[in-house]
Amino acid sequence: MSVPVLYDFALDVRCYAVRLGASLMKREITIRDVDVVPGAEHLSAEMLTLNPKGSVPVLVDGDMVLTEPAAILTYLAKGAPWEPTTLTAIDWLVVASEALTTFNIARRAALFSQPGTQDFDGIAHGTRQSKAKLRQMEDQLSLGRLRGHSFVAGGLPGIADMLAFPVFAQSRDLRIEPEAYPALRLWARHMRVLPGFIGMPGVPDYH
Amino acid sequence: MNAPVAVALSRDVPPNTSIGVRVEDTEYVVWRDANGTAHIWEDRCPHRGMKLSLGFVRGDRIACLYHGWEYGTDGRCQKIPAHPELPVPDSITVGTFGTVESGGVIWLATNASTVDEAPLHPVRSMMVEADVKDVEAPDGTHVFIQPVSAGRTMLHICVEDATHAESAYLWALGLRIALEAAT
Repeated sequence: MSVPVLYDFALDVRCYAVRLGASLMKREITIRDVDVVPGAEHLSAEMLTLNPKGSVPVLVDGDMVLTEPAAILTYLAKGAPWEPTTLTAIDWLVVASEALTTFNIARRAALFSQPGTQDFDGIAHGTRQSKAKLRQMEDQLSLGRLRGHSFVAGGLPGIADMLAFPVFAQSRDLRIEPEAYPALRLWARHMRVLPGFIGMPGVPDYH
Repeated sequence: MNAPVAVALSRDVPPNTSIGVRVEDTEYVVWRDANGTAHIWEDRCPHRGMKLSLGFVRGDRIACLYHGWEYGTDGRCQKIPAHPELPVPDSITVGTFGTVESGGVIWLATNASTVDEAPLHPVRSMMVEADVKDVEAPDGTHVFIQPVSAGRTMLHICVEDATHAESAYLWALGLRIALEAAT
């Protein structure tokens, strides 16, 4: 069986969700670094041919090209206990995927954009949106715990958790303090102790 | 501040973990050692001012994320990894505060005050983006108020009867909607 290639940028939270998921699910991938900052390699002709959106991550396995973390992780989860097989799991996978997308735009602007640009001006709005998403997940986990659930879509960890984890773990980059999210904080601890957990710059891998 | 203030539900701080909390704009680290005892300290490593809540708990010590300085349950520094041979001066100490655990809630208790709550079942801690002074809760539901900062209040919600937990959750969401709409 071939080893899928992940076009990756180490500082990107969407790429981290994929690396984290591959490690948790013990799926072998080959990392191909893309020089997004400062090289803008994701906008090169080669990368745009692969992915017209000009975004990372991109997973290539033979003829198949996937560009969204939710799809990539679902593909890697095939046959694993993490595979989203219920409609509830898919429902929360979409919710978590939206949260990650929203958060990523604001965080990328906060880390890399210059004052006076449209991206920079969008940080405040993106931060408010990210807080709203975190609150939705905090409420979901708070209610779930009363029903004996520790993870976003139920009792077992799934793709939704992999997609949501980077949002909470890196929320300080938008000056969002974790104090408002006690259920997410405990859930993040459950994630950290899973075998195969890995961090990224800003997310230590000890607990 | 005189009366004890609830800062977390006990179950949200398992052994070997630390969290950061804020009471009236002052930051504290709440951590639980491997033996199960909870501690509330100043959230600041005396070395470089890093938040200890970002650190990690090993046995009966909490270590700073920055340079690994370790502090024992009395707040005194026990180890400086970069200088393993150095006897650590007593003056390197983190400020500690009275910590009481009662009713399934961890309380910041200055003035050596005590708390005596009957055992309760945790529902959730819920941040409200509003100033909250009093809450009128339904019978059997307890709400402990943690003033966080201007315009922000954490409510720690518990019930006497575990079968009422979900109805208390629903009630609390209604309360949050009403409190935030009023500001």
